[in-house]
Amino acid sequence: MDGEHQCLCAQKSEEELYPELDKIIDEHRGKPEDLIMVLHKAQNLFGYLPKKVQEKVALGLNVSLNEVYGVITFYAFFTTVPKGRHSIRVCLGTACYVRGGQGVIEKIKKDLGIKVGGTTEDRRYSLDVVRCIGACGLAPAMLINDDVYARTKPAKLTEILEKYE
Amino acid sequence: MSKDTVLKKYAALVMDEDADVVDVLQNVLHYYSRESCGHCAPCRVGTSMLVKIIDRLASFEGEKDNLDQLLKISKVMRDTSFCPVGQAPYSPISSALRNFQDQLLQHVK
Amino acid sequence: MEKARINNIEIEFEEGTTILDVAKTLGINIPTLCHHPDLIPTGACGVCVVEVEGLPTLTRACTTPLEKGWNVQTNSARARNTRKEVVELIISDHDMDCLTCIKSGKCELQELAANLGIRELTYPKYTDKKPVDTTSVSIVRDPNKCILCGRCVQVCSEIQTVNALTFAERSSETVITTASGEGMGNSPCVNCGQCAVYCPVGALYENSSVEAVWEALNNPDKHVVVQEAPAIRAMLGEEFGMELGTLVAGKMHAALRRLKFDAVFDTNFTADLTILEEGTEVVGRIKAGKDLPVITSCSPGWIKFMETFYPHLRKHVSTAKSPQQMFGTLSKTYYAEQKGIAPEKIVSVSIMPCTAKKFEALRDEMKDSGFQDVDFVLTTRELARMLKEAGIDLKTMPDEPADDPLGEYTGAATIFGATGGVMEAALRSAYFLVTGRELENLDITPVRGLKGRKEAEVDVDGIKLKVAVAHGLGNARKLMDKVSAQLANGNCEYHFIEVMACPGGCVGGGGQPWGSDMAMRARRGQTLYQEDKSLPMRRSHENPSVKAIYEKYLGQPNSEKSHHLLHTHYFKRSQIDGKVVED
Repeated sequence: MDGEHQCLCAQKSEEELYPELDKIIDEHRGKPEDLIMVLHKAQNLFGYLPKKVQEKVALGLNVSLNEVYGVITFYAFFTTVPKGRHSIRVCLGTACYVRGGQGVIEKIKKDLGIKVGGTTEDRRYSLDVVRCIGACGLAPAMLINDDVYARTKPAKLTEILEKYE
Repeated sequence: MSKDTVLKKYAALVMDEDADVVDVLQNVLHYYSRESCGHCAPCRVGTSMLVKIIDRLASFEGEKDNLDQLLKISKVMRDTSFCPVGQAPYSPISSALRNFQDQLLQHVK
Repeated sequence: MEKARINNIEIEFEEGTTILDVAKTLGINIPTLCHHPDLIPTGACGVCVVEVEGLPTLTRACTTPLEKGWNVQTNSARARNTRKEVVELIISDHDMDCLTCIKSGKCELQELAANLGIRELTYPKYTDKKPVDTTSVSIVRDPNKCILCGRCVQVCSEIQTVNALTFAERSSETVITTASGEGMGNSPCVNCGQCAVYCPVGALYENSSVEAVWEALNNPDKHVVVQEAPAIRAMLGEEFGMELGTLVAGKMHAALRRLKFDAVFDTNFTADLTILEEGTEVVGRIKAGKDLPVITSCSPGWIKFMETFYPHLRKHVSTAKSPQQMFGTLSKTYYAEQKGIAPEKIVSVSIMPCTAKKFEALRDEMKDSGFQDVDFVLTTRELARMLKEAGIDLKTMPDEPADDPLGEYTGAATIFGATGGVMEAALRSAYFLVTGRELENLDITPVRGLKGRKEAEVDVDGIKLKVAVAHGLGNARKLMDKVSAQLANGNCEYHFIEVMACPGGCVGGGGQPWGSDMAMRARRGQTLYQEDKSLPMRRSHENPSVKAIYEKYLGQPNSEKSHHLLHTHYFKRSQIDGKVVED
């Protein structure tokens, strides 16, 4: 029941966001060169880039939908999957990588049953990779929302994740 | 590890003696594979081929030819890739082979 | 002019010329894969690497301009070995079922591997099978064959400005796909097939109807008729090793008879008919000053492009059906009646240089005969495959005419296959329709040739007609932008416009023999103009069979019956998925 309720909420609020998207698009109407900027703003608004948003941006900026699609899939920052309430970002910059960042990711993937870039079905967590957060001395580092976790050990992850409802 | 070992450009890595060079190479090659933009064939196909080979070595399923292949592929990539991402894997691979061949051979079936 | 050396041979060259192009003038062919003479080089494959003395790394010949004083070695051991290894890497990521591949024998990668002497593959193959895109009625895309050279994306976006194909994802996940990966049939693809023409491997090819046509031919209850587009006669010979530009009209009719088609007609007949229908419409609209300019409607790639990107211009597009569709309708009405054959027994097949014709034949509104007017569309390549399978060698065929009553044609019909041809044919008859006199000089050369956009002014008894011709959808887009802007200001300078979706017109169509470039398209076009010149009749309205069909069946051009059978209407389409949307 809980899940259904959340889902309806999310849909409703998403519909309410479209007028704001139209405003953003109006500022850049007919300017293909602003594509990445507009996608950024749109993703900040929706938390992700659903197909309808991609279509509106494409038509508004006068670029083809496939150009939008190409850009979204090329840059790791953009996502077509809705974000969870808590965003887990594991660093895979050079230092974190060799200090076992991959192990951290594998453990989270296994615990939550999602891929990198994915969101759990209850929209509680989403998992992403970042390339260096400037905390190389703390490698491997991880961010959950704005909290930094240093020298993350896979064994401790379950406990850490449980703190985020 | 000896001081003339190049495992990554523009970064010095200090590891203790227990570190396995295949493990290190696996991390580094996965990194380059992810960073490849996919535009030019040598880098796109090369990095993914290097990853597949090093993954086999890491799980002790490699074949002796795999070591030569790592070197050969990374050399072609160095000579024909558009940008430094594809040119980079040659350095760590060639130094690993030069300095830690015995460790690498332990991963061969 | 500067001086440099290639393989120690001194050469003068113009600054800015690439190593590849300068080498070619010395007769040195540097192997390439992603490079195509019609497209801007991107250097994606890395096959064309050469060694420049004194430079530490190898250099791509296709993208690097030669520099003063360089000595380039195209065949040094390092260049040769590296090139071979790059090709080996590319092959390791390529589905190698060459024996059963549609491109076998015509594949540029296959040829390259053979030329470079690759005899052994040392890299392990790990590639997973990806699903083949069969969502389009015109084009099949097999990502397992794709080597990501990007030619299809380039031609689709830069030359055709359709933007149906794109690169997506990154690193080893990189793919060429349509937006959201929903397939070409759910994209703004206009089915022109230029992607397939430019694909070096077997990743893009026509959605084939060969098996369906064999089945119809083997069915004794069916009466199978066939029509061939004007352009086919200028290039079918290429598939049988004949010299580029050999005219094979008579041999083509003979070969089709030997395939056991019950009647071998010719699309050229309905091309002449199109001129009467469209020409009458043009003259009527010019006299009335209504909905000018009139734009041609023969090219189904152009029609879908117009419906998608310029739906506001629909009322300007001639309502006359394309020759293929006029033929389809008449084969199941007029011909059925004349012959006393039940139309449901007739299977109407067309041989087209075009993949978009497959889409056109399947359009819902193309059923004016009471049945699907054209049942199956085969490209030039598919016909060649059928003939080879049946052991029919085109070269040895006698010259035979097409059958009556849908086979006779004039020179005006034949030039439909080249850019500017429909315009020229229409003007020859329009002059007559307006003045009642014949145009003396039939060669209207300003509308011929491969210039992207052509214009001419023709004096028809004091009326100055301003006409324009565009081929290739990028050129069409520029022209339509201009027309749209002028119409918005209330004064368009043009009276009549011809648009062909494919560069060069139908001789450059998406169903043509593999390996076309612009030079080949130009040569094929010349063949059509030669046939035009050689024919006893060169004006569509002189065609006796056309006169007969009006007398016996249709009445007048643009009569009610003509309108019912030979004219059509257009829709507005979504730029997102190419589907019909409400106005």
